[in-house]
Amino acid sequence: MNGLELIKHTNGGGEMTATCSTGSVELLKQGVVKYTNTEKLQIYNAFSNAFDNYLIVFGSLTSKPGGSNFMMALRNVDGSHDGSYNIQRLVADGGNPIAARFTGQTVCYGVDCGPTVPSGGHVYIYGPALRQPTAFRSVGARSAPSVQVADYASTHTSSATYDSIELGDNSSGYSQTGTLTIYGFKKQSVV
Amino acid sequence: MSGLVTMTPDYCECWGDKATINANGGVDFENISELDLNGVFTSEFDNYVIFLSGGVSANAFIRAKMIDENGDPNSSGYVDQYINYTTVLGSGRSAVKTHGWDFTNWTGNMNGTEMHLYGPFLPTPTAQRSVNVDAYSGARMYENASSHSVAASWRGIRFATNANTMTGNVVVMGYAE
Repeated sequence: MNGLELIKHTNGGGEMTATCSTGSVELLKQGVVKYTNTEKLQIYNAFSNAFDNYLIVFGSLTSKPGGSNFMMALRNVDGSHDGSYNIQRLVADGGNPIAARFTGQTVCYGVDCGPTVPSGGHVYIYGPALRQPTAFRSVGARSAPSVQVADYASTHTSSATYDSIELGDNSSGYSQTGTLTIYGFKKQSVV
Repeated sequence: MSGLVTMTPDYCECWGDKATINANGGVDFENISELDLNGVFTSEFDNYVIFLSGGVSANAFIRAKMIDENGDPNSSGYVDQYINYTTVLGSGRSAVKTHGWDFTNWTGNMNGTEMHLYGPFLPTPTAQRSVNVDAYSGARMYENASSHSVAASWRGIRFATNANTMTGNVVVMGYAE
C-alpha cells in the first residue's frame, strides 16, 4: 500500500496511547485522538520505523480561556528527550506578514488557535523516528481573534530517535479542544 | 480505508463552456466563470483537501463559497487573510467578504492551489488554508487563511472567478480516519 496511511499499531512500534495532565482525551481509533480542555497532551507510539515522515491534521481546534499556541515537543515512551528547537515564524494578522525567529527553545510551534471559531492546520514532521535531526513545517489558519495565516518552520537539534510527542501551550491555564489525526507517508517499494 | 479518499461530486454545474466529472473522480473544466461541486463533503470525513490547477483567460481572483444541501451557495460570514510574495517583499491584508473567499489570484496558464478545509460538513464554523503558486512575474506565492463564521453543515463548494474565465482540473479528497 502506498501513499498517506493512518497510523496503526500494526505499522510497527507499540500500540498508540494518549494521556493528558488536565481535561480528557479519547483515542477514537489508532491514529485519531479526540481531546477536550487538555493541557499537556501526550501521544505515545505516534512514530515508528514504519514511516520516515508524518502528517498531523488538526481540525475543529479551539482553546480556553483565550488564544493559545498548541506547542509540540518530541518525547519517547521512556520519558527521554534532549536537544532544543529553532523556529521561524510567519504570521499575517490583518495586514502585512510579520516574521520572527526563536532559537534554543524547549518546544516548537504546532497550530495556533482561538477560543470561539475553530482553527485548523497541518503539521508535517520529517524524520522523527530516524537517527537524524527532525524538521517540522506547520501550515495553519487561526480563526481568532480574526483569521490569521500562522505558519512555522522548526528544526530539532538532536539526532536521537523519537516515538512520542507532547502537545500543549507553554503557559499553564491554557487548554485545547479538538481532534487530531496522524498519518504516515508510505514509500513505494521497488521490486 | 485510510489516508486520502477522492470525493467524486454527486453532480457538478458550471457557467461557461463545460465541466466534466472524469474517471478519477475529479472535474475537468474549460472556459468557465463558475463551477459548483455538489455532494463532495459528507459525514464520512471531517477535513478535506482540494487540489485545483489550471489557467485563466486573463488575471483573475479565484473565489470560493460553501454550498448547502439544496445546492444553494452561502453569501455571508467569509473573512480572508492573504499574504502575497513577489520578488523579496511580502504584503498582506484581511477583509470581510460576502462573495466568498478570495483564496488565490491566477495569471496565465500555470497555477496551482492546495486548499485545506477544516470541518465543512460539521455544524460549526469552517476554517480554510490554501497554499498557492501562480504565474505572476514567473512565479508568485499567494497564500490565504480564511474562516467562514456560519455554523452550518455544507455539502459542496462553488469556485468562481471575479472576472474572465478559467480552465483546468479540480479534485476534492477527504482525510479518512
